[in-house]
Amino acid sequence: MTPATREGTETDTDSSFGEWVEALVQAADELATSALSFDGIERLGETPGLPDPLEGAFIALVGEDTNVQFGLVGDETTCASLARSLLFMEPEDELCDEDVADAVNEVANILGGGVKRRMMHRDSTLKLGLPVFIKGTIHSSSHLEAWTVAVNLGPVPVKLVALRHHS
Amino acid sequence: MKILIVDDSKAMRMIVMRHLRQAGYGDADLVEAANGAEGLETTRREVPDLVLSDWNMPEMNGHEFLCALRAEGNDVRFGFVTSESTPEMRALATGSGAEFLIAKPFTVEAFEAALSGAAA
Repeated sequence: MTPATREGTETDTDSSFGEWVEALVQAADELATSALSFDGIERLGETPGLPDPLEGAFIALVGEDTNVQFGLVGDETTCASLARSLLFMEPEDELCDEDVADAVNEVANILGGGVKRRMMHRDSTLKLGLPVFIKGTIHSSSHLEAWTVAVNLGPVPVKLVALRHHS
Repeated sequence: MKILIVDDSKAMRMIVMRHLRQAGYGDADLVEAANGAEGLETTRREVPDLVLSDWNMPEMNGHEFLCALRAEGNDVRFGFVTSESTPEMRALATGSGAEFLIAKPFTVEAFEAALSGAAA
């Protein structure tokens, strides 16, 4: 399954940020069909801004011309489902909070690597950061641009988040 | 055969071990480390035949780890297992002495292909 084509991007946010968002969705589709062993992703909708509250992992891509962060968030059930899929575990298998955070961080790491590979043509100095697991709220500001895409990663409802600071 | 797996993610170390078993290395002696600094100490202590290391890790990253090994004259076979898979990173890896780079997300076949060369 391939991700749906993003429509109306340039009316909602500028084209360069839209390209990052598209790379994020494509990387999520690759993630779903490989590391998570799902059929693919279903794109449900998208909106400017951040989901609230959120639980999931973020990872940064930084370069000479770039400072963006990507997240994969949902709720406690979402994160546990992603962790079990990554670790080839059954739904009834027990997972502690630390293991869930570690696994979802790794999912974000793979996602960030996929975005980086797709966007090196825009900034060849891109470096991938280390993932962080977040439970709570990211406070938006006038300097922060955010875009959220709701998808089903296989059977798991997830929100993909792209963030960048205005220069 | 002794294989050292270096990754700051416990989940990824488990996944790498699973893929190694499925790739035919179920009899290998697997040891783990959580970053490059631990990997360096473990390599000195355990003397593995092969090191599989992540790239982006806290404290000492995988490239620094590889360079530290080579700087002290250790020529252990070394491969990266990482989400970093751009041509530039592959060139840096091999130029620094790595035999291969397995990109995440990976398959059992990727391990079979890479390790068949590394284990030869």
